[in-house]
Amino acid sequence: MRTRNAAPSKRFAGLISLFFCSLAASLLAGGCGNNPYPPGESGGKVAYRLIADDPKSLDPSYSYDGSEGLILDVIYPSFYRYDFLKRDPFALELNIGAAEPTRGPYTFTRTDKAGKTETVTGEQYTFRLRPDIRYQDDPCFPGGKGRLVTANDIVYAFKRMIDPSVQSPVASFFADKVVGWEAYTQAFEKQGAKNYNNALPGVQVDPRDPLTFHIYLSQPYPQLRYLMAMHFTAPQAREAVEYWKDEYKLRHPVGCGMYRLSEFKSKQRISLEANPNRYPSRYPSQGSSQDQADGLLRDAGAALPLTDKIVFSVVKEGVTAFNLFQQGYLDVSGVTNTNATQVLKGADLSPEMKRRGVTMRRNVSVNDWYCFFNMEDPDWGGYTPRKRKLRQAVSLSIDSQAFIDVFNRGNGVLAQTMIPPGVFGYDPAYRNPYTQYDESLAKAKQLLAEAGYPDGMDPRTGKPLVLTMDGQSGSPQLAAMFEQTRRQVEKLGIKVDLKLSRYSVWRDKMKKKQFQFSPVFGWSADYPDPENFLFLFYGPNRGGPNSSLYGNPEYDRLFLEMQKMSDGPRRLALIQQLQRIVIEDCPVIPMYHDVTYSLSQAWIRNTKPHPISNDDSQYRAVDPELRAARQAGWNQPNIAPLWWGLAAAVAGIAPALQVIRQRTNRKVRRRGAVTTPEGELD
Amino acid sequence: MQFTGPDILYNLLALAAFGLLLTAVVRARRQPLWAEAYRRLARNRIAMVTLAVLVLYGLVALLDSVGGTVTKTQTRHTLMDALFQRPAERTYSAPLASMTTGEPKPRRLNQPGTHLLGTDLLGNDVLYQTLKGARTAVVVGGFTSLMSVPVALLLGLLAGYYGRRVDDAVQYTYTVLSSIPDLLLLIAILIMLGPGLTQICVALAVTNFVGLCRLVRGETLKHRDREYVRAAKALGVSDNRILWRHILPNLLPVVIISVTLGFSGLVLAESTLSYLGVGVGQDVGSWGNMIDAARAELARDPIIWWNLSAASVALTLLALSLNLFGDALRDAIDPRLRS
Repeated sequence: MRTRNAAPSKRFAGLISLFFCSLAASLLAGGCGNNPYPPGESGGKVAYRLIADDPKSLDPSYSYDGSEGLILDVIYPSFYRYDFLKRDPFALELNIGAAEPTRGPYTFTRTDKAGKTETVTGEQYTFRLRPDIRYQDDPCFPGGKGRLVTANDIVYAFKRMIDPSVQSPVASFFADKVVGWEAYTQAFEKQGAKNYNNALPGVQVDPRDPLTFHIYLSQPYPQLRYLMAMHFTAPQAREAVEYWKDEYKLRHPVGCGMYRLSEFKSKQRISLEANPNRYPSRYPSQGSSQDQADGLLRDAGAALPLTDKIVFSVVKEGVTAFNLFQQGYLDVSGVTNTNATQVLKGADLSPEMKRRGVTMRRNVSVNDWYCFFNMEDPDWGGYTPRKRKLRQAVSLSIDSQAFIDVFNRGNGVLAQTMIPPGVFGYDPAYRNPYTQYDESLAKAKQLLAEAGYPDGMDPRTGKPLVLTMDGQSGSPQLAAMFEQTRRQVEKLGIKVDLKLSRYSVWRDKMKKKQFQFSPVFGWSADYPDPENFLFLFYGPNRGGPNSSLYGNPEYDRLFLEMQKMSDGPRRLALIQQLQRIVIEDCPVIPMYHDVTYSLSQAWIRNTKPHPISNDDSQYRAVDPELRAARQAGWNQPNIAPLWWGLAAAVAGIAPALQVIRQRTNRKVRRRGAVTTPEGELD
Repeated sequence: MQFTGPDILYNLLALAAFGLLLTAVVRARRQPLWAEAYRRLARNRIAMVTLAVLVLYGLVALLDSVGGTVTKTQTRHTLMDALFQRPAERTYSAPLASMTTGEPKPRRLNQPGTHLLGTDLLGNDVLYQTLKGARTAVVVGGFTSLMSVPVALLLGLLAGYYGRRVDDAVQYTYTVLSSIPDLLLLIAILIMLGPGLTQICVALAVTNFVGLCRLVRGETLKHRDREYVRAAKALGVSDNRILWRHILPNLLPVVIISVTLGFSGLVLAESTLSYLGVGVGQDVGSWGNMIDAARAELARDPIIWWNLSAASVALTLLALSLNLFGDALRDAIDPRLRS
């Protein structure tokens, strides 16, 4: 006997079935394609890279971030660039420069604050630009056509670095060296933007040749060559800055490089396309035998760039990024904690990665991780033998290998001094006597006792010696590193007071010199010269890069001498002498230099990450056919999970339907008295 | 181990808080309303189980609140620290494992097979970290309620009883506060005050008093026109006495239920804020901090699941117990629900 009351459950079941069928149909009808890029794009000569977030700035005078550099350095070419293949030592080559600059003495008079006039002999550099460099086409230029780049554009870039409103992070590199820099800074404060019309005495265009400019320095400064390879000194068009205003700084760069920005989709992707106005440039023809073996000379002499487009996908999560790499939608990837087990087998690639044709490269970063003391602190600073021994004892308690193992999966090089591998002055055989960790801490404890604190106890108070550690809060990883440092130092019997504060507060403490010890701090090279690491202890840099507030007249004298020299045995001897002074005084505890691994797909060539330069995109070459074939093979639709899901849903719904049916039948039975044989209710 | 002035103060405070709670429960049972409620609760199996869980959390919090200063290191150690006092391992290890994990070369643990819930990045026992989170949760819930309930009661009673301008002022205050999204307001206050257990309690008290104040105002509005209040007025009883001796006792059951149910919200809020990095600070044991650290751990290969699981289970168990117990308490007290 059928009743009308049974109908709702059937209708419900029907609706559920309809829902799942339409869900399945919509998924299947969608083609199940997972390619995240516009149709047809990846079939072309496009390199796919990754950035973790939107660039905060694309202003070449301001941006100091590595991921922003990946975009900026191929849009804004500098006078020099780093040779793509040469390492150890790194080498500069001309980029938009026509010839090596000429150097000569430069004598000028200057007046100090007391009104005393003196004659100083500095140095004059004369640079000449190539005559075939044009800006990209842009509405800021007359008729929208990019004009020729002249020396005036370099002078303008220097003026922008001085402009306090731009807040260029490298202005301090030049401030005490370029003639008239300070006065020009003060003029900006008085006149504002009008000051751009005034001449900058230290950087001037040659009146006889619009492609030649001179830089006048108050002292010899060989490192200027490296600074002329940074995007801060790349030519900038004044009309572009004035036309685009804030847009210029954020998302409308106007350069003369190999690429120009073609797309900026916030939080999604940033695309660069080959600049039609680019200057002729070639892939390097010389490299090491290892480069030859790695196939890095296959494109020797080829015209740059080797790809028509670079797409930077914005992906924050490491897991997502590696999934994209595994699907073939990213050309390169790093080896991190999120994928190490899948990628590595021991120190080598896993068989799965090898089967896919993935190659791996080991890169030693030109950086330092270190801890530093406040050398002006009454308890922990100072230069007496006792204070030195105190710091040396703490230095010996730090087990840097544990940091490498626990936080970096064993990837790192123990630091003996502040000069990292690849930089002139690095000695792989040298062992710093105060960073040789020994589990028994015998030497550390002995030094502590000699400093007057046996077992870390202060005999005057009868209480443990206290060391206040100031670190930045925010990242659980950093907090764990600080905690690790605290734990290691406390093994000496010293009480460590760990204080974590927001970056701004921490920075403020550093500026006001209100700290004793700062754990696990990073420094990356701006350029591969020992001066860029040894200036961390140069007295006048206190409050700036000299975070430990180290001041030693003998060190300062030797540093100035070393700074002016070119690499050679005399300079090496001076560097060793400088390092010995720092090691004995122990204002810092060198911990380790980063080691990273990069993975490249089989279809991409010339992936040799450069630890300093960020312009390697222009050297990359792709095989789009191979990529398309691999992508098709690796991304076959797998609808099995859908069927499993459907089965699970049905299995979950069936009991519910059964319950509904039972309840309905129960109601019907209760109402049986009023049910007609035809199933109609009265 | 020595007991310094602050140690004695902390210990007394912790013991006093626990003692006061016990006394309040025992004394309340002598009153007819609460005695009846207790009888009903005792018959409710879920209520008894959840109460046992809550007492357990309370005892764990007490264990981690009573202690002294270690003479050599001059650091405060609680009874909980003493129970778990053993050298930390080097880094991660899975529950009951004998080797570390996450290192290029796994090493044998100092105490193999003894870490019930494994160890974290720095080799700390996860069970110990999880239990330490209990104190933070109880302190945040308790201390915040201690700050917000009196304010909410005072303002709610005054607004409901006197009405007019007093009511306008109170309503204006809590309407403005409730118009700002809670999370936004909390983050703003915490950025201003900085991280810390006291700071988070103050911030939560500011946002938490609004709901209770609104409830108390509404209930007072109902009560002020009831006969017993009119009678008291006719007899010349002062407003002050009417408010505190007559109306307030009638509101207490509602307030207690509301506070019990709100407690779990406070615990969850602390975890959320710590997860967002503006909570109690990295140096205080907190389930939110553990979950925050686990963000990177879930993306590791192999996955480090034990840290997140332990914190989540501890948090869920406390919040669930509070909610179930709160519901049972309401059922036991509310005459309309007694059938």
